[in-house]
Amino acid sequence: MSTNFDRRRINGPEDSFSPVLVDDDEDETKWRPGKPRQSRQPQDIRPIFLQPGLISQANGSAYIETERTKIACAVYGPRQSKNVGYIERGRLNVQVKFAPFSCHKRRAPIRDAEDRSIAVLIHQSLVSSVRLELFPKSTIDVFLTIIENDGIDSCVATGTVAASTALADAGIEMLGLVTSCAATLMGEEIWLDPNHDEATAGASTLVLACMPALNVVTSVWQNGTISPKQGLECMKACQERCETIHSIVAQSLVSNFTPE
Amino acid sequence: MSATVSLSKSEKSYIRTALGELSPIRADGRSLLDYRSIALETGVASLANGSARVNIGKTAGEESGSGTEVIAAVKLEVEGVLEGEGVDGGRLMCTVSCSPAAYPHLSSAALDDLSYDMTIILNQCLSHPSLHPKNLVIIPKRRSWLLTLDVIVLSDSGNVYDALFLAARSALCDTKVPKTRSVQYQPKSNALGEQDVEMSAEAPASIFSTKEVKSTADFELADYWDEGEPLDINQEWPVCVTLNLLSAKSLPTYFLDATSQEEAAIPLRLLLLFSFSPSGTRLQSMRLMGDGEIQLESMTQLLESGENHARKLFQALKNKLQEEDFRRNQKALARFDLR
Amino acid sequence: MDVDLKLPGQPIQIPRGPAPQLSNGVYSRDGQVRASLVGIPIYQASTLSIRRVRPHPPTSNSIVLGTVTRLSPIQATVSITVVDGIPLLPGEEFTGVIRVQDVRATDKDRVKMGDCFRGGDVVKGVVISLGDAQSYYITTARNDLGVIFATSEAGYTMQAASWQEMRCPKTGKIEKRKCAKPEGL
Repeated sequence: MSTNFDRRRINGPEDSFSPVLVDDDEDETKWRPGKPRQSRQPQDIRPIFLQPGLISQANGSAYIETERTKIACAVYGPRQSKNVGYIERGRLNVQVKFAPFSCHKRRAPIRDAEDRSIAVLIHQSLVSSVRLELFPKSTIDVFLTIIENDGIDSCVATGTVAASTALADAGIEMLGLVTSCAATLMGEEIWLDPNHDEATAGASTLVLACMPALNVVTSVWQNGTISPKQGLECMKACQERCETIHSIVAQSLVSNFTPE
Repeated sequence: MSATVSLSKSEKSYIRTALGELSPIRADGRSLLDYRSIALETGVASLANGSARVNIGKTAGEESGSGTEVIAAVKLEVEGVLEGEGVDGGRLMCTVSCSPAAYPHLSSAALDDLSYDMTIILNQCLSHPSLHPKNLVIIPKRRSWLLTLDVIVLSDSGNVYDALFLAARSALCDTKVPKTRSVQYQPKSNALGEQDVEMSAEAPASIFSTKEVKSTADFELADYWDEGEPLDINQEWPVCVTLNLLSAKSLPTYFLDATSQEEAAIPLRLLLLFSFSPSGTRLQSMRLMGDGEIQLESMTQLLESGENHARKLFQALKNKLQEEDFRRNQKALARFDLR
Repeated sequence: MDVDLKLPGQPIQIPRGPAPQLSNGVYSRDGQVRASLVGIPIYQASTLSIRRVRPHPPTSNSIVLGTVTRLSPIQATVSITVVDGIPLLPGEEFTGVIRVQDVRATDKDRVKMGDCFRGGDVVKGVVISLGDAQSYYITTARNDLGVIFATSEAGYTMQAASWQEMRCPKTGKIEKRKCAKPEGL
């Protein structure tokens, strides 16, 4: 470098970097942290579109869409567990895949830690609802494909709803339908069903899954910093909203039911 | 997140019935809210910036090998923000690896999954922005520290999550970030002279401006490498309390510090991570694990009692860490005197 | 919208009188009977159930249909394709085994597997136990159980001639099988 240094030319800086493109247009309509919530109240959730039975080759399936979170779920089985010893209770196997185009950055189609962490959380929400004692030696496979991702919390909550609907559609015996709702703590307010921007701006996020029919909670997952009192308030708010979601799930299953 | 020990139906019911009795009985004679003895030592890895070893349930007089044993160590690496993977302000990454010796009956795939699950729980809690240390910056927008916290599970006889977070907190409290000084290069004078500039938080107006070459280019270590300042966070690193829930009824009974057998016998566990600082008690993470269920009403009570247990644990750990600090400094002084 | 349609977890009103026996698709918890499937609860005699329309794994006493995939002197391996009248999805078959002592009810010690089943036969059987890790145990020791469909060496569908013989309609050759008694006879 220093050997062909030419002082007659305008020399650039020694090290240079490609510019970092920031979407910095002063768009007044865009939500920014600190602003009040746009287009809905803190306790409102995004509209849900839920359709069971879209994947015809699967035993049961569901497709769910809440604005920019889009998830397809297919349930296969119960089928015979292979390569394991005799198990008295069935196994619930949850797998989550991100479509390579589901996030801002391309996700290479390989299994990574985040896929598994979401699968573990959805498994936790569902496992107590399925009557696994009726499926000895069998495995029930739940496959979720995240087509568009708008926040991990939203994926876990929406994925749980889709998976439970797909299980009901697959005719798998369950104690009750599981619904799930996310919340984020924004300042002192609790915002339900946050999208990605809101969840990252919030101090803490919480996802709660419950069976509204039996009034029991199956999963709680909280992260970030929150006072215990606010945590309880978050859980209460989520559980209330889960009942609304429950009626959406019920409606979609009823309208999809065809007596034979 | 499956139990690591497989028990038969009758073994499970045996343990459950004994725990559910009016005067509960545990195999090792503890009461429901008793911990096993916890041993802690900091500074166990000399090449790490901070480290700790935790053992829960080591029987007295026995050599290592019994109880749950966990080692945590913190390493700091320099990262470039613009050219590397680094992020302005530094990064904190946690990894848990389970030794095959701790889980001899698990296949390597299952072991990987278990390590993954523990990693995620540790990482989601500790690398949350609310706990981010402020002093991981070396040169604003240029260089930063990558803090990696590696935890190894050497043996597991139950309650591994409490042990993980005890070790993590101790190692992080033990960590010293080396002091750095920014070094500036001034091309105008053509003298290739290096001039010390105190590290300042003033960021250059733009990295593209060529007129103002005020930005610092590199850094050097200020002192000896074993000296440094502790991590600077707004709150305290949290401690974990696992409440093992016996029943899903409205008045849940729970017990602390389960052994592996007890863990395999119970349907549900509630992981609670609390951080206590003068500004108040904060819940840093909360998670239900297992195939049981719970009523929301009972969560109020569980959170309350979890907070009390966590506070006691937190206080005991704080005292122990101070003691450790004192012991090591004493030792160092004594060694210095010998020379 | 059907008023009687129940969803998983929804309580089912039980009429006064003796408590019904709970069968498929319903369960009782804390004294309340609830549905565990999407469907309409039906009473048959004193059993309450919701009909399963989707495949489910065999349990003991399930009537299964399957294809013989492997034959040995001590057992025949069957790939179960229909459970209680509900066909399984392709690729989701369960494995069953007919042991030599479970082939017929009489003369058990003189059973020759080769004279009872051949590869490719479709067999109707009843599950007697969940078996071991690999397979369910199936019995054909009843008149209405056994081979219901088989092809001859010449490749034609054979007809049952007696409870242990089948005849090829083209060549007239007799082959030995443990036949199921055709329904409605």
